[in-house]
Amino acid sequence: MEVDRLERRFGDFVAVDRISFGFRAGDIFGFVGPNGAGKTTTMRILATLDAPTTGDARVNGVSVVDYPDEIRSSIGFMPDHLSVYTNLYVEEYLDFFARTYGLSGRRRREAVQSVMDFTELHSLRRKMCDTLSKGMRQRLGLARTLIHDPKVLILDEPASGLDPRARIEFRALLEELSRRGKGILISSHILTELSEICNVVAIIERGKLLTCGAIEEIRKNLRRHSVIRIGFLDRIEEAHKKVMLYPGVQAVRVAGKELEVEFVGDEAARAALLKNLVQGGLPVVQFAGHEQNLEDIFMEVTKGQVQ
Amino acid sequence: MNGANAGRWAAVEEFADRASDRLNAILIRETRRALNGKLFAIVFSVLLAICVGACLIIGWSEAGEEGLGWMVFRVLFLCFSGVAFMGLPSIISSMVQGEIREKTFELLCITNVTPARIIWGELWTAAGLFLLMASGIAPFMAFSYLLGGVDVRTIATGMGFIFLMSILLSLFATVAAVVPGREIASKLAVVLFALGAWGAASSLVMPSYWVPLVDMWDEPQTPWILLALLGTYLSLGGIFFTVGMARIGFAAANRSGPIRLAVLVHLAVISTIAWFGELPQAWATLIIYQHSVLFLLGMACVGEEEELTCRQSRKGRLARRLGPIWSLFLPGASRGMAFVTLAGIITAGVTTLGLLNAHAIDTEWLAWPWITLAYLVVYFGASSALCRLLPARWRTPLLRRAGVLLVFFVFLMIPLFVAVTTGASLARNPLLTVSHPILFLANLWDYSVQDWVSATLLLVTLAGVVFVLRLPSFIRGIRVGWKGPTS
Ligand SMILES: Nc1ncnc2c1ncn2[C@@H]1O[C@H](COP(=O)(O)OP(=O)(O)OP(=O)(O)O)[C@@H](O)[C@H]1O
Ligand SMILES: [Mg+2]
Repeated sequence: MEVDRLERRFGDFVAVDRISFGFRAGDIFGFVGPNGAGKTTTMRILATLDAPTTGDARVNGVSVVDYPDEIRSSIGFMPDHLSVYTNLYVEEYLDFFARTYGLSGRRRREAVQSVMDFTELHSLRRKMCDTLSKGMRQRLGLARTLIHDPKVLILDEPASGLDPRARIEFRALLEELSRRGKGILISSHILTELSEICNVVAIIERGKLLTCGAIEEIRKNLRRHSVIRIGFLDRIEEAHKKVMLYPGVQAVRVAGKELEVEFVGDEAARAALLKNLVQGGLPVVQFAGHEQNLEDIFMEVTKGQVQ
Repeated sequence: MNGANAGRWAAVEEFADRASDRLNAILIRETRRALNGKLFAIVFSVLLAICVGACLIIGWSEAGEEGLGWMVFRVLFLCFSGVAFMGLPSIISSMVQGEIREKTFELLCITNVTPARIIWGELWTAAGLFLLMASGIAPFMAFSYLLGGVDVRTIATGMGFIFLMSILLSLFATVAAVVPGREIASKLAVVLFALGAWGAASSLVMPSYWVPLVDMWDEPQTPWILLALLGTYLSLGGIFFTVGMARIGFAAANRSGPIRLAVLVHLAVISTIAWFGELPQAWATLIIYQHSVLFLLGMACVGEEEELTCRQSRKGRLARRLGPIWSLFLPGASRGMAFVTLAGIITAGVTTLGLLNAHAIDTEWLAWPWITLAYLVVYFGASSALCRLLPARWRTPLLRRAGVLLVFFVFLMIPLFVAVTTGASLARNPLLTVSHPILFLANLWDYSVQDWVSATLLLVTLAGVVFVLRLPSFIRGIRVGWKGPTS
């Protein structure tokens, strides 16, 4: 799937601002951003539910704007809310969607059976689908998305509202799907959640694509900007002054007998800083490079401007 | 033994399953939901209970009277038409609204199901429910036949009328449910719709209900009447259908071209019918009636300025190649206005010519162009008033459509007004509760010169005000329509 300078305006408001990215079969592409970032809008366009103002997206070279009808059979979209019908059993629900995708006879029955096997819904097949719990609904949603065996899956916040166990099970399902060669686009607010399953992530805020790439790459690009905690026995004032003047230090905060140093530089530069302090006779008791975790990356990349 | 039974049962199931592949998926889903739920069972039992009650009361109070069967038939007919014209469309409408509310519609839109199949599914469901209810009422109809006074042809024609109307109304209900987006607006639309539909439907079933059909079949006009009915029925149905399709198929599939085409076809049909002198006034009035509903829908869909998406501007490029006339059929800012204006002028002209040809009795023919003009005046007046008087944040496309709803209401009145003044039987239809105030108004009108002059002055003033208010939009629309889109 190729997304090419996609833009969507609502009146004067730009919900998605010329974003471009792409992923291939077998990839799990994470799409992260705060509330109102434009994730759902983008995904709806990719799922042919909405039309972009400008730009285009292609699946295997076929445009979703110009040939929505052709695209639909190769895309499975799971919205952030699961829509169900009242008075319809789980099995009937899946059967209905199989019919709407044009499956008939044995192929339809097999499709329903196989997605129920895959999502372990067999025990619930005679349950009304509007009485399911959140986790079960999510499974049913995934089953519905898979019923026509699409090549690309677009999942909008599939893990929200799931308990930890359900989350892990859901992740296993996604990994299995990726092994089967499906390209998966999955959105979330939480980068940590995605980092465990996605090989590529894109961070978007206010409709703009801030960064895109493998998690390790993003991390490496940001590593230059690490935080180091240095503990001293005493003479904290003197240490503060000395550290402040050291090249590469961006900011220093005093926290009791510790300094929190924002430092630009790789590991060699950090070793040099420590050497410099020790040689200056300061009583360093602790020197901890604080690894930036994904939350920090997320907080750093996004500006916290919720719209 | 048991095994053989199970095997046979499985074979039956297998067969049913394979047969169901030929049916519309939505019909299957709705049938399953109806069987799993309670609502339909309740509606069905209530209908039966009413029929039993009605039969008992009539049988008890009028026993031994002449033509008892005719009376029972009419009461059954009234009950059943009530359910078929109000109950069935509102079941369908609430189904569709439920889908929109639960957003299951979106899921459907990204499957291989086309909007046309969705609407067919709703219609099949309506037909299925109708047949179920008709089968419930059939024994009572047979009972009225046995009592005497009503023949099979009357019963069959009556039921046929109810069926066709109920399907048309369900189609309209589907459209009404998908046109306005928000809850209150949909409810308002449904209420207005129910009022209008009640009038329209009752005028359509009149021949089977109040006029003894036995006589009607001997009338020379009957073929014309049936032709007019069929023509308006089919073309109106076509409009509802395309409008529904356009509303269901999201932004990615704009269908204003087909809608405008369907509107033109309908205009052609009714204008052609107006050329024939064989139609009695009541039927001519009926046709105006449908004309008004048609305009309502045309307006609701194309009468507002549309936002151009990139897909549409691609079409715009196509339009430039097609030339000015064809580009009127493509979506784009203001072109809806220009389209409706031109269509209104053309229809008014053609209809006037036709009526001059056929119904040139005194000044009566003037009613036709006046209705078209009045329609345009009220629509543009209402929408420009809304646009000017409301604070900016309320000037939504939805509210601009409110003008259309208002016009719909006015247009319920005008044809009745004409009918009453010309003494057509429409006004005596007691099902039509809205006709009483009109009857009163109509008595004030005597076709005198003063009446026409004052009406003319009023309309011309209104038209002038509205035209000036909307002038930029008219000009822009016609210019865009002429030159092709610029974006
Ligand atoms: N139909 C619409 N009309 C006007 N504005 C809209 C419409 N749909 C979305 N928006 C706006 O577009 C922006 C992006 O919305 P979107 O739903 O894509 O965000 P999101 O990233 O999915 O957020 P969340 O994490 O809360 O689901 C929001 O500011 C929203 O208000
Ligand atoms: Mg969202």
